[in-house]
Amino acid sequence: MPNDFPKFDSLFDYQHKVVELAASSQALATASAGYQMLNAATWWQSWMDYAAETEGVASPVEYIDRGLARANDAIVQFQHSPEFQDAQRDLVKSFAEFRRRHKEVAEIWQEINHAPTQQDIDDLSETVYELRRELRRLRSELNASREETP
Amino acid sequence: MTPADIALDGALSKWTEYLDGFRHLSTISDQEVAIATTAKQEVLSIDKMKLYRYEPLAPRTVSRPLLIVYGLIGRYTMLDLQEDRSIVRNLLEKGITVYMLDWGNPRRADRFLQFEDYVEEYVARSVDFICEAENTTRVAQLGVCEGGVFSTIYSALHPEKVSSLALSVTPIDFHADLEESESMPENGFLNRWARNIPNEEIEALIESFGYLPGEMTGLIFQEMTPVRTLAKYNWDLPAAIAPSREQALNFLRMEKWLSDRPHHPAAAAKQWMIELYRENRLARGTFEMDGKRVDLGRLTMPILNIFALKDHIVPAPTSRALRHLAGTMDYTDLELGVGHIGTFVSRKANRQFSDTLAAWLAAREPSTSTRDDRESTEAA
Repeated sequence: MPNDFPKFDSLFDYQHKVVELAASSQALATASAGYQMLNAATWWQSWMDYAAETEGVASPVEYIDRGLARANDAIVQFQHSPEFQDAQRDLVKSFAEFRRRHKEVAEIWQEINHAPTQQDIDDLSETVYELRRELRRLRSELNASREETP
Repeated sequence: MTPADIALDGALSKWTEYLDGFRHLSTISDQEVAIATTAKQEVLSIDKMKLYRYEPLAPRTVSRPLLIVYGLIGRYTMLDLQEDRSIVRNLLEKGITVYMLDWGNPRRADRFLQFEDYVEEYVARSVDFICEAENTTRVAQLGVCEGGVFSTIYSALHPEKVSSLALSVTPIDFHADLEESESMPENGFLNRWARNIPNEEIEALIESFGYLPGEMTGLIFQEMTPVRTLAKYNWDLPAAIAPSREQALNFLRMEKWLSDRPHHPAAAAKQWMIELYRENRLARGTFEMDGKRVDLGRLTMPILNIFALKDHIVPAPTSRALRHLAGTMDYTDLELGVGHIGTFVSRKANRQFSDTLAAWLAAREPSTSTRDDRESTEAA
């Protein structure tokens, strides 16, 4: 279903939210694959370069040890590149977007089924937090006034 | 030997190591992998925070109690990981009274907690409690990593309540990692991560959970050594568990600590990642707590700054920067040639850390004539 599909009132816009969740899931999968591919390509290139330099390696175990160390260094160096940083940004952005869309769909289900939503709990948590802050402020003022009283 | 012999020999040797390692693992129960075993009592509890007082192991030699403030990333148990590598135990054996803050397990319901709450409520009330219990007006503090930032902020806002400030692997100038980005590319991944992600994306990520998940900080740390992380439980495993049963136990204790990663409350995580990592407000003198600017120039108490030269997580320059920002005339650096965690668990670094801190605290004991403790005032 395309994102510009017209709204049907009787569906409470639910269909759009499901489509957006599916789209965000796909975007996350793409970003994640892109990120992994970049790292894998760096690792592969590192092994290819290393494979051409077997001179001075005493044993297969040492060969693998040194190859892993080289690959680690290569990826660490690659993490400084704009290419890696772009992929990292895409991954973080698509992950947060997917979770946001997921929450929207989950909350529709919760409301339909008479269950408190995450937002309801968050609102309550905020109220409790503000009350605690207020209590702290009052306690602080009370202590200050006691100290001032001769 | 022919190349085939060398290959066979290597494969057999590796296989033998695996067998030795699994033999050790098969004799170890989870119960035996105990961490943070030094005896302590819970003396104060506020919300999910707990304050512990450790049982003394030697007669008191330093009058000021020491409050250890760990961060919200990882758990305080790192300082008491095992009996023979315990900063806490070492300090107790030198006659220092040790208190420890434990932040518990913040959940989504704690998402609104911010630095103001951690510093002005939890740390501040703990300090007041200790002063009352120990009949003193000041405490010494040891802040660790993010806990070091809490201690630094508290000390700058309430210098009259802090007799001395020790910090370990604590970032102060969050952009100073750039000094060594070319010479040590493996350091500062988290600093770069934060600078790479726009504020609104960091906020959206944290908001989507209601906290910064412990699993996510764990993943970020694993990316600092990407291939070593992938090889940890296969190719590299024998080196960790094969040499001896005791070494396998050490490995498992560290695994236990690593797997216990608390979540970081959302509001405080946004301050940590955006205001500090991205905007570097602490070093720039623009970080505020409830509208009060945190001025590092007010850190006039003696300062011992302990940091690690091979620290991937908190690059040494980010800690070292405090020297030029603090207002104290009594400033000491201790540079350790290890990594972030090695500061606490490397046998040599652990001993150097404890010995230096204990001697430094003892040397800054108030003399009888200048002591400002309540008991001396009353005695006078």
